[in-house]
Amino acid sequence: MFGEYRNVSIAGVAAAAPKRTINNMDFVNMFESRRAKRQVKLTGIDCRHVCDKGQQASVLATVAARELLAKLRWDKDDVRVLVFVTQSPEVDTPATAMLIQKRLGIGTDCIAFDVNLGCSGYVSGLQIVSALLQSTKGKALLLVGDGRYYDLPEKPTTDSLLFGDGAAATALEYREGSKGLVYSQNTDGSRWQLLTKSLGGPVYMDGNAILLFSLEEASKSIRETREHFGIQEEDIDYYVLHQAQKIILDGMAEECNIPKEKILISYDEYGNTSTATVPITICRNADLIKGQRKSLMLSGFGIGLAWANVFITVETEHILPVILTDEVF
Amino acid sequence: MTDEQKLEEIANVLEMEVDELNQEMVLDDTGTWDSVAVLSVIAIINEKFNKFPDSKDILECNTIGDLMAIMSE
Repeated sequence: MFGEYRNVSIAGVAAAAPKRTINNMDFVNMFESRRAKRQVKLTGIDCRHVCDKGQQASVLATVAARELLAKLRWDKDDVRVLVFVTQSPEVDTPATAMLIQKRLGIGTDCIAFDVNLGCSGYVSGLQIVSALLQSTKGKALLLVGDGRYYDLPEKPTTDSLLFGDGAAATALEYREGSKGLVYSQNTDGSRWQLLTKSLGGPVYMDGNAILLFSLEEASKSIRETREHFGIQEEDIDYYVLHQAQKIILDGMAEECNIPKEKILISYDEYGNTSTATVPITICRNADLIKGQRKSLMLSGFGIGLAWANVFITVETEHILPVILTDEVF
Repeated sequence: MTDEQKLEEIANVLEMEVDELNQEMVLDDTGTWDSVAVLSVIAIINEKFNKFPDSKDILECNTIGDLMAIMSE
């Protein structure tokens, strides 16, 4: 489906990642296989930031939100909506968004809840928050993040070298007259088993099916979004795609006729951070995109299966470079 | 790209020796035909022929011979 939300804008974006890093070439030496080394080359993921003991997604999201609120000088009591999109909550219940609300010192005049979405989660989260702002007005925080390093199997598989940990906070506000965003959203629950993690079990991924889905359907949805809204190539300053891995992004660029220089990346340093890849990529390129307003085509796709695109113009003044932290709470 | 060169590339992708392969061999029987292998073949075609192959065509390959047929201009 296609849609739009007017009168909302992004006031700022911050992202946080753990200070601890894993170099993938060192990591693959554990496997003693040519295949693992080749996989590192194909993925383009040289390094990943991973949670240290005691760190988790909620901590990273709190750090990103705290720094962003300080930069924006927002009154915390003005935040009406706090949504945390994650697949690694801190507790089963209540929603981790409530723990983050407390840590940030946000007042009670707000709604806070978690959303269980993965790689499409940031882009869908922008839609969810924009929809709520139509009614609540005021200010909102969209938090996203995953931190699963300590959940990975003791004996790592080569899939492990794809995933990093990270989180981000995006400040949105209701602003009368603001152009807002346009979006496309698709979900196909009939394919939920292609990428899943049972309660307490390991992650299962049908790599070939996910690969085909990314290159074919996610690419097609970008083309259709441009076409549906009459967005011309020159209207888009940058594309920020879910950072699955290098060869998938290269393939999508080819499928969508996107000039390589318009695709922002962060996978080389941060890997696939699930919900957080899109805002981490925005913040990783803060220096490159700063200056004027920039029009971004954002695309998330993955677990669900779910895929979504958002086209939005953002003020780049309050896009912070990625914060590296070893904080624990 | 000659058939010998293609077989060498495929052997490398599947982590097998060239003399272990033949064109009738079913890819799924090799035990190493997975998404990393598929991505590797995409990368090889991209590098050698400067084009991005249709991933569906690669996934539909049944035998090593099918794969060799795709590795062309």
